[in-house]
Amino acid sequence: MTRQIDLSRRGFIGAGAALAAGTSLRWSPAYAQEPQVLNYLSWPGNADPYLVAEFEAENNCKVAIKEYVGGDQMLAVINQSPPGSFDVVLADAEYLHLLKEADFIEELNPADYPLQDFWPEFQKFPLHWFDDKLYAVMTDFGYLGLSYNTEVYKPEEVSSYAAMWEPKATGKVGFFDWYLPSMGCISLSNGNRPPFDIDEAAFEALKEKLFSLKPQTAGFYTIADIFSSLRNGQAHLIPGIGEWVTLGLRLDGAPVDTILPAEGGIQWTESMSIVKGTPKADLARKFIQYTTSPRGQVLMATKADNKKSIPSIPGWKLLAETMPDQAEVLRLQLDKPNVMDDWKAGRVALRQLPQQQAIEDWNDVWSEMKSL
Amino acid sequence: MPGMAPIRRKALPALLGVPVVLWQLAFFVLPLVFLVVITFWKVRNFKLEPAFDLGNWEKVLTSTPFQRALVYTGEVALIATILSMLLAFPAAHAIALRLSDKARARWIAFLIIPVFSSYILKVYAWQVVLSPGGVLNVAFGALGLPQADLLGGMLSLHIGLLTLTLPVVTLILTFALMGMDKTLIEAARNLGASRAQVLLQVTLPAIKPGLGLAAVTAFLMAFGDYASPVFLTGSNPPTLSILIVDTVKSGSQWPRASVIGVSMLAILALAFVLVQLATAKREVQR
Amino acid sequence: MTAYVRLEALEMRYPGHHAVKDLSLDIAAGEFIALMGPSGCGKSTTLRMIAGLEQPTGGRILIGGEDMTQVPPDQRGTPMVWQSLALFPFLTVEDNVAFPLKMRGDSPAFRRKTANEWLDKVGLGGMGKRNIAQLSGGQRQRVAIARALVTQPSILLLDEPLSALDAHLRVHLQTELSRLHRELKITFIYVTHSQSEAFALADRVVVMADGVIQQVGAPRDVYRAPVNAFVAGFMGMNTQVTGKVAAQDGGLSWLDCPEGRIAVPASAPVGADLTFVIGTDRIRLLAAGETAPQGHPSVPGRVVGIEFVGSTQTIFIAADTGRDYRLQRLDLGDDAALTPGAAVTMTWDPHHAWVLPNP
Repeated sequence: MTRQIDLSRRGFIGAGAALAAGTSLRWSPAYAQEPQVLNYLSWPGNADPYLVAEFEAENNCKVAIKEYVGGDQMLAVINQSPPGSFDVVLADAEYLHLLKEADFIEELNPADYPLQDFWPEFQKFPLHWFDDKLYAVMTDFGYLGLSYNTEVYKPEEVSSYAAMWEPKATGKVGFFDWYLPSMGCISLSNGNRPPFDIDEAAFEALKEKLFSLKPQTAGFYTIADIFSSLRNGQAHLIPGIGEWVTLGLRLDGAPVDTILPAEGGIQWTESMSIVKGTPKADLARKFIQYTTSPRGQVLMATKADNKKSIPSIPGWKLLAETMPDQAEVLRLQLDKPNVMDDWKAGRVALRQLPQQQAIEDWNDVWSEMKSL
Repeated sequence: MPGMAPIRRKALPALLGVPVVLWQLAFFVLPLVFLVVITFWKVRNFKLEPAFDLGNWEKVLTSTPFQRALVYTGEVALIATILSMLLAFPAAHAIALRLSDKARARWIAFLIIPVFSSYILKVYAWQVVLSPGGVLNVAFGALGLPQADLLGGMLSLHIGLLTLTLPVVTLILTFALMGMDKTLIEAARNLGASRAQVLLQVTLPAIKPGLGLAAVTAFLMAFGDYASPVFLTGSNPPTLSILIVDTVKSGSQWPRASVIGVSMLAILALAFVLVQLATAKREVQR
Repeated sequence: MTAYVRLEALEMRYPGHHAVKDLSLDIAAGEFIALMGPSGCGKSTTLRMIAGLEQPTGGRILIGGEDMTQVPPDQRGTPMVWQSLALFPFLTVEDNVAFPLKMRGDSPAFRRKTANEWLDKVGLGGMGKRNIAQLSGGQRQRVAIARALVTQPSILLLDEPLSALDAHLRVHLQTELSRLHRELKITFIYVTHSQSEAFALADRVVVMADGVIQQVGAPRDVYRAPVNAFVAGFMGMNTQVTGKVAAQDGGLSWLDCPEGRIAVPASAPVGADLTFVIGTDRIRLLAAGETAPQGHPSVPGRVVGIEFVGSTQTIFIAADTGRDYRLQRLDLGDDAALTPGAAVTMTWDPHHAWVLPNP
């Protein structure tokens, strides 16, 4: 009798817990604990068979992705999921310190990864090291500047962000609906270097400058709509995006390109970390090694709908050998002008989180901009 | 047991209603209570923490983006309601009162199908049709007409919203008109009413509850819609639904998003009650 | 008679249905005329054509000498009272009655005054502010009548206005309709399938079948002298006997028929076929041991059943020839022997038999 009551009470509590789990928006993949499944928290598309099929075959495992858009969402997901939900996280470099502070990621052994193969500039990338300890390995990067419609603009017309305020651009400036790169470009156009480390006066000026763009605005787009709005001509100019959008479109015949204006561009960097407490640290390490290997790098660079730059020099070489035409359009050729020239010329600022204001303050300004 | 019969007769319908009540409780009342509770919670390190904090309410209700979005969403929903009523009524009138039974059944099926097809897909289709490089502008170009900037404004937004509301509103009005006693129309004609007088003095008053229901439904759908404002105006400016998503996106502010959600529900409930009062006036007088 | 309403060769064809065929009828000013017949006979369609609610496919409609065939219904001045009443549920009683006045643009004050006068006339004084739903069936009927009469039309059309009411109320309202007709002295055109209603109210009745007028006349004339088998049957004279003339005798013809040799009031050549009917109230039963008077028929049969309607009774009898007879008489309390199966003998005065001119 007592046992029965006890059982039913336990059942009731169990049901309550399940309900709570369901309603508190946690992600709990059914097979999170399967040894042959690598749980991967990443931007959309990064578990595409093109990228991971070879790794899955070699290691007889399955890469299961939980996708997010934007670092805030990534943090939310990882915060709200039970420990052990993820093994590897791919994050934008500027969010790593938040992951590190919240103790979500493991320290890495630099000897495990081919860092010496990277361009010297990226071998000790500042955002990946904390107290001289490595927490993330760079997998790919790209530049954000001003993307434009080549039928409407000549390159010299968009050599400055000022093009967005011209009458010609009225109602034709699109925005990626993420405050960070969008406001970063406006900050650059206001002469702020670095763009995310600005004082209150500069922040006020940035706000005013941003709001003055409202009459020029076509819309605030999701990732999918960035592509469609550039392709169908709804937007002629979009700041804060880059070749990760326009290269694929251009190869597909759309008249679009990205320029780093005179005021400079922003570099985004993606890197992989091992999630703290994973029982599959070995598999996670192998996945990062695979992704940073020359073969993994070539695949990362050439995925049809998301072209990226890669930090590995052997990766560049393999790309030039196996896909020379891709190497050319991606400007990843060692013996020609290439993507590293912009970096070396100091025209690119790192994308960072706001340094002197709270994230929320920047977010609020962005919300207000949208609602104007 | 003669005394049992009336009790049983009353108990049966009540019993049959139980699943509906449970359903409503499980899938509407409980989530709603949860939503209201969450509005007082806090977010720390992107994590929800139970608390009793009125700050979320204060922050949202006093924020300029919320107030602007509220006014804008209300305006949009109101215009969408008026547009869909004006466009749907003549169609519903023709379907309900002019067509043969067979043709009417065909048209009703024709109206029901869009209700059950993907709205998002249709909104995307409109994007393709209306965009500067889209179907319409290509056609304009071929005809030697100037290009028109159709996407990203009130026109495209309302085209999208009408895609959502028009079939439903037309159906509601059609059923309302089918349900009205058609001899009332004949009687009015017979008693000296012109066609316009019949419409204004008889048909519209006779289907007043149906008109109210159709209007509330259109308002409700347009007010809460997310897809059309996002995909056809590029969130420019954002509606309350977009604001909810934005609030969650930037910093996992579920409590503040819940404040917006609860406010929206309150407004819709108010609209519903007001229309009910307006259309059920005669009932009240009794 | 000068016609106030004249229907000339009216035709109404629907796809697959010829509802009204070549119908011509003159109706005098101030006349109370009833269109009657079974459902589907075209009587309602005819009324609706007069009101302009149906457009005839042929023929003309003249009212007061004016061709109304193409005039829209709202300009005909032919208000109608529906079986369903068609009151506006969203208007008060007063507003319902005032509706036609509002449509023609009368002032609110005049509308109110006139509507209330009419409500007084139909016995609903003081009920103007009520909702339709608050009224009883009979009260609603009066509202419908007041609403139709409020513009003081010269014609009132009524489409089975009383058939939805119970018998008691029906009789009561019949009386009121008669009174209104007498007071207003306007033309009433009344459609009904009920013979008793038509007979109680109308100056003349028009019997229709299958889209064609069968007979027009005063109720008594139609009842006593139906022109054909259909009208006779519609008047309740279902027993129709056909025979060959065997002899002629002083204005009577003797027919040879299964019931024997029976006299009918007609002069026809020997050998001609005649069909006669006999009113149910003209047949009587012979008492035990009584023989039929000289020259009266004597038809044996057996009782099938008895139906009582108030003080009258209908006795159903199967003649030995197999023909069904019906007999209606006052309930005299002498029917103890008339149990089903009891043998009886029927007789009637030969002069009460009616020979159908067009069988």
